[in-house]
Amino acid sequence: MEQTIYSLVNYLVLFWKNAPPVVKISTALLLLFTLVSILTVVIVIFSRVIISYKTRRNNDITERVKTFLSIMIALEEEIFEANTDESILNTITAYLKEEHIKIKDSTTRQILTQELLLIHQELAGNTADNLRKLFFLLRLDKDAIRKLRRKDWLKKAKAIHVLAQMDVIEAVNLLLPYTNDANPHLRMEAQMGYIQLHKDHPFDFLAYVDEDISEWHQLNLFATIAQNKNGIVPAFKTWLNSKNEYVIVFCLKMIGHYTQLDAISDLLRFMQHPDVTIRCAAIFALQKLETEEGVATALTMFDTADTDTKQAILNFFTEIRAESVKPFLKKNLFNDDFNLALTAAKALNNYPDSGRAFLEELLPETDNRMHKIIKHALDNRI
Amino acid sequence: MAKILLIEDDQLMLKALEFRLKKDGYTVETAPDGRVAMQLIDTNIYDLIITDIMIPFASGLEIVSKVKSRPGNTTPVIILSGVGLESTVLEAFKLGADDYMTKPFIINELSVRVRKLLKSF
Amino acid sequence: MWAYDILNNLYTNGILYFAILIMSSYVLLGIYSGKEMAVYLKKNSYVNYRSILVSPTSPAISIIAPAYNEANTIVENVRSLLSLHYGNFEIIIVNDGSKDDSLERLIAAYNLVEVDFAVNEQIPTKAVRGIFKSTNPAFGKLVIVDKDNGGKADALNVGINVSQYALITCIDVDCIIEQDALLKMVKPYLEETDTVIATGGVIRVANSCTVEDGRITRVQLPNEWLPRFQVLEYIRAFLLGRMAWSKLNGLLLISGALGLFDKAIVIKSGGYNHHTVGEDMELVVRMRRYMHEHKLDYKVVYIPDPLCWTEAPDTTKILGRQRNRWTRGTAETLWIHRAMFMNPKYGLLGILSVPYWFFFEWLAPIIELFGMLFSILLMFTGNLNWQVFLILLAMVYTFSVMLSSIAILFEELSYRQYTRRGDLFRLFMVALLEPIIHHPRIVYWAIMGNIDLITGKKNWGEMTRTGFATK
Repeated sequence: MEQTIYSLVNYLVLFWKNAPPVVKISTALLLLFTLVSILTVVIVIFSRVIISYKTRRNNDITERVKTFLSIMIALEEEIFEANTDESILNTITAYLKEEHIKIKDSTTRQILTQELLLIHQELAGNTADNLRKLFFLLRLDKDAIRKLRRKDWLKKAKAIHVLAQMDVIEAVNLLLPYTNDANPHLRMEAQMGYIQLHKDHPFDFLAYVDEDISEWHQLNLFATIAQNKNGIVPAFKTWLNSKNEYVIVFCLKMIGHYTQLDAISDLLRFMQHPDVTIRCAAIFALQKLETEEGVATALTMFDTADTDTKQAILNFFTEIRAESVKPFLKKNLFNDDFNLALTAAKALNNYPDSGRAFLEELLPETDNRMHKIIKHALDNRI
Repeated sequence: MAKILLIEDDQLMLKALEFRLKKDGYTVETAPDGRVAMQLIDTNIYDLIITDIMIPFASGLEIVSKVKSRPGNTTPVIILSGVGLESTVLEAFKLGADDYMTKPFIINELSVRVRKLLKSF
Repeated sequence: MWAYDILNNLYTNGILYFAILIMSSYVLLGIYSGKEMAVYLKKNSYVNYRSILVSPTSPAISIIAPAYNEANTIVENVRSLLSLHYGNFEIIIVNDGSKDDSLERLIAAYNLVEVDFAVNEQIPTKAVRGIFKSTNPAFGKLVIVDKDNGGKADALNVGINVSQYALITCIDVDCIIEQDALLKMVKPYLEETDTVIATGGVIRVANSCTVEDGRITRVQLPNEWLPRFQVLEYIRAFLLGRMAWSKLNGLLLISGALGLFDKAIVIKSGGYNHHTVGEDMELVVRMRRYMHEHKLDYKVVYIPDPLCWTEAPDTTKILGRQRNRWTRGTAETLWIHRAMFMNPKYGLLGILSVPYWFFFEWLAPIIELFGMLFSILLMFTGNLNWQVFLILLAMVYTFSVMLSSIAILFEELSYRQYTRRGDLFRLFMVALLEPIIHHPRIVYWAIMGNIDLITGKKNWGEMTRTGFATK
């Protein structure tokens, strides 16, 4: 036995010594690859075992937590009404025990917070208030505040989300520094949280934010404003002097959406802004306000404007149906740009009486291209 | 004792409403998705149906149209949905839904609406 | 004898060096991809896509799906497209002169009538016969275009001309698209402050998965070996490579099965090219070239979420045709854009992406073939150094297995689609067998593709599919 091992080792040593470099390198690589492959397989199997254990455990906890919360909701009158905090906590603790929920365990607390948040979003009135009370009685707010101090931005962002959803007002000042954070995700979450939590001036941060506010970010801010329970919609023209162009674009959009008519003079100014995005946003806001102010400016700037701005102006005219722009629209039926011509035709079609009649009269005497465009505009099914 | 079918894919919401309606004194059956719901509707008669709109395998609107298109059927249906879009609400009523509540909603309000509908039918 | 020695030397050492070059680039890309994937998963771990869904300001999308002789499945496929989760979109089905009754079936199923639609012919195409809309407001999002047959690229171009929104999504009509695919694809476009000109999604193999009402309800590893090999190929390509290329901003290919594009740039670069069978790759390269030549900043982004499921070919005949077509598409694209090759004017694209595709995607199978032929020659002349030959072969084999294992690990740590008992074992078996059974065929098809290209044989590689609706 020893003999064979010895001769095998001997053979391998000899092999290595006599092998050309190609073989040496290849052999070394071969061994390395085999080792890494085996290691990978082990890691995969290991991770699957761990993950499936964790999943099972978490599913089990989630199941209990859900039962617990559904009891809290169904029996809210008995549990929460006309009782002192202390006696409520006692009742809650008894139910937690009954469902075998270990409230001191951090995973359990995380799952409980998560489930509580989800169901809280769906409910209103007394039940929502009682769930919020439950959140504070179990001191889940303290968990979130502690997480806010963690280094990981994701932990922070999630904590902010919890604090905002459960309306933990005293946390508002903790959020403030993050509203201009370099990390875009954290920054967005902090701004959303701030809007929800600050009861007097929820949009303060717009005054000093100098980081980007991407369109995605703007969508989420808008969603937050739309759902905000305290219902504050500020005069967005306040921040139109910002040096941050993203703030300007966002405010222009909001002015349009919330039809803030007192900002019209600002819109007139911004529709001639050198930046095309801002220009178009201002024109779009005018369109939303359905105001005829701005028509004169739009008419004078049209000929020298770029295509995007031209399109925005024609869209604006489609909405307001002002008699004063009719000749202009008729002229632009013959615009070389197909889309602009089509928009002009649609705008004319939008005039309840005369516009449509004009298009129909024009129809027989047009060339092929114009014929198609007018037919398209007249077809209300498209 | 009135028999209610509750269709909702959020398990916690389903449980909470089930407990609550049982406490109000009704018999409650539940379905977590459209397929189970369709089977239950085929084989049982309910006094009232509460359904979500965005559920797996069928839309709540399909359930309304199925229940309402059955000859001689008078089972009232309440829609309980996170979708509050004007077009969806109108479509639901056009299909014959008797009531529409948008989440977030007040549980006590649902309880009152259920009682009212059961009384009038 | 002297020339022979050089050749022999080149053969043994050359193969090793080429192999090491390829292997290290794979490893580097893999590591980089892994890192990027972790970043992506982290930042999207708690995203609420609902805000895009409900917002009145989220961008509108035109979905463009060309269809050719799909009568058996088209009605069902349109129905599942209609149920995609998105606020503001239109679905344009382009019937590319089908010889079957696709159009009639659509007209009947969706109460279609012809409308006076003025097509803005920004990209020249074959003639449009008619455009249809539904009389039922429930199908208001649907636009059906009937046109003369002109191939997939031409059909897509017609769709672009008809589309009314600034973002377009081009898809294969017979793929299963996840319901929130549009939400996820549009997010980079909203999120990046640079201009995103294109977003690509992952394609997954749907064979043996359970499909109900146009939706994947249970993911399963395919029962047959051929699709199984492709599962591994797709995992490797999408998880190990593309994420890294996306981060380097050097991604050249967005699969024709699912991609979101900035329409203005597509039109400015001329739309899909109907002279190549690789129109999906060619378009991305041309768009990138356009941006570089006009000195515009831009990004092409890729999303690792499994968003699109396709039925992979389950016979060698059809798979062979597909791979043959892919090879020709790659070669044609590289040839059309040969000016970019090693050209620093195109930045990383010119000095890294295009050469990478040239050497590793196009040239590698050819080198492999010649290596093998030379080995056989040596074998017959009795000059083969068996020791070197076998050890090289074994080394390359273990590398391939390692790469596949790492891909499986990535899959396990990210999306974990194959969770049935035994799936892992089967996947590793596939990794062990693939280099021996599947890979030689891939090389063969690639070679045949090049031969067909040279001899000018046009084979459009029509896909014959059983279709999901029949299951």
